[in-house]
Amino acid sequence: MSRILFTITFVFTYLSVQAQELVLIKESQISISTIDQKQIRIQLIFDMPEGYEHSQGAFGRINQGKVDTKLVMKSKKELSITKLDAVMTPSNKGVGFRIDVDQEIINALLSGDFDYQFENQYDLYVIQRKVGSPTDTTRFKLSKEQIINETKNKLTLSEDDKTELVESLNGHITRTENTLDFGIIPSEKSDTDNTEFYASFSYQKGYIFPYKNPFFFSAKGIISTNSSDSLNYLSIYPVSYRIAEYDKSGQPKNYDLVAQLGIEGNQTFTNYRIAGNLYWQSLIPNLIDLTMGENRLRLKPVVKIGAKLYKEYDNNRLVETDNEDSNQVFGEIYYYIPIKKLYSLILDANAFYDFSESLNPNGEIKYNISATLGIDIPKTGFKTIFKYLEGENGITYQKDQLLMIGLMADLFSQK
Amino acid sequence: MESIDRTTSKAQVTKALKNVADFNGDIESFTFSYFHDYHKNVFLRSLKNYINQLICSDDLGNQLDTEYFDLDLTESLISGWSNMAVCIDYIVENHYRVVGNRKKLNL
Repeated sequence: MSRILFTITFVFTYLSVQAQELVLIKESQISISTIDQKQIRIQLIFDMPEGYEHSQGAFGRINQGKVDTKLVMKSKKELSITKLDAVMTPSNKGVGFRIDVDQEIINALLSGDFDYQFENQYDLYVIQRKVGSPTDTTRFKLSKEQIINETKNKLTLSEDDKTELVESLNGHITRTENTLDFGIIPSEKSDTDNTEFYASFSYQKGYIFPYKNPFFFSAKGIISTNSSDSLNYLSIYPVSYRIAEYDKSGQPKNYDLVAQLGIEGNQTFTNYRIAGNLYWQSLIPNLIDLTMGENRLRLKPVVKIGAKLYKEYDNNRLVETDNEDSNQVFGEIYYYIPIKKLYSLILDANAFYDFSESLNPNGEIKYNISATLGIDIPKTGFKTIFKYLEGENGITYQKDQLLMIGLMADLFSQK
Repeated sequence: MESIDRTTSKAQVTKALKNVADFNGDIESFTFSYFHDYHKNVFLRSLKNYINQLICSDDLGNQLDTEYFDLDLTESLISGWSNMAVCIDYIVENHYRVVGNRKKLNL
């Protein structure tokens, strides 16, 4: 008799589990991650009553030994099947599936040549509960078939996400927030006695090849309506190479090491040279505190130290001299200094030593400094600034200084 | 902990911010204005690392060494964060844990 009762109980329990209600899925969301490991994730958002959440902590416990997820990719042309390891990512909203990607996997997913889906060998279970009431829970089944149906060919990325994911394979250095500043030089300060307009810019972008590569394009400069202004310059490096971003254990390094090859000149290229740079970049501790006790964010200075080899092809020096082949060592600093409650000073300084005896006969360290004083205007993206530039142009070696009044704006900020 | 609450999220953001800046008060009103691209990268890498290191527990309070917290992060996200408070809320809303055929990273 007891054996019969046991059998009946066992069968009833088995059938109950098999008849577990399926979890309702409201939608799926795709997201990417580009910091350190590059990843794509699809999240199935559960349809839950208001005030309920998915118990992410219960997921691993109640599905122990049953989580074995793969991304299965079936080639449409070659009828081959590839299986990639995946992980499951439960959250308070639902359950996700995530894969690590490289250039080859991204190309395959975006090519349209594959059908793909996530698969798990077993049915899985999820617990939903009322927030704040840990005992008010309901258990649902997430079936193998649901996982396939809800993820089949759904890893579609927006154009922005595609671009960011592919570019991130070239390393973080290519994800610079590009900048463009405009300014006005009053006529009384201008070399031409006319009001002149300036633009200074910085731009970097990774090259997108079919394979992962550490190359990127870099350019920066100052140009103006007075094309012969001695502070104008253009530095264009079509070949910039990130030497190493991670150490052998896969941990990100706390510095950048970059090699560049390009052309540097004045705005009209009446003075230009081919140059190769190698530089190291990192953060150093704060050097000064001008907040007078106000709670302001004091960013640590970004420092760059490097060396340059160059070969001049044309020069417009006032004293006629041969084109030079020489080398320099240089240092740069970007330092944002908050002052008291509302003011900010941004220092962008560069110092260099040229080993050419004809260009630097006195063996001096030359420099140029850009100092921008700003004040926060509430609820706008602009700050009224006074910008002061002084020093020696590192390309033409002409000295100048100017005071610029203008509005500073980031026009190319990444979205 | 079973999930990351706002207090925990704010503590991780504060630690990540200390890698790129100094400050002497509450962080929530600070913005990402004037961040050099290098500041952004160091901040995001630090934030992800600190979140990965948080101790996961299941719904019964048992600590787990086979699961870890994680977060989808991209550099473009910073453009949409008007201040640190938004960053803190993003972590609370979008974090998840990693379960599966991978052991927890040796953090």
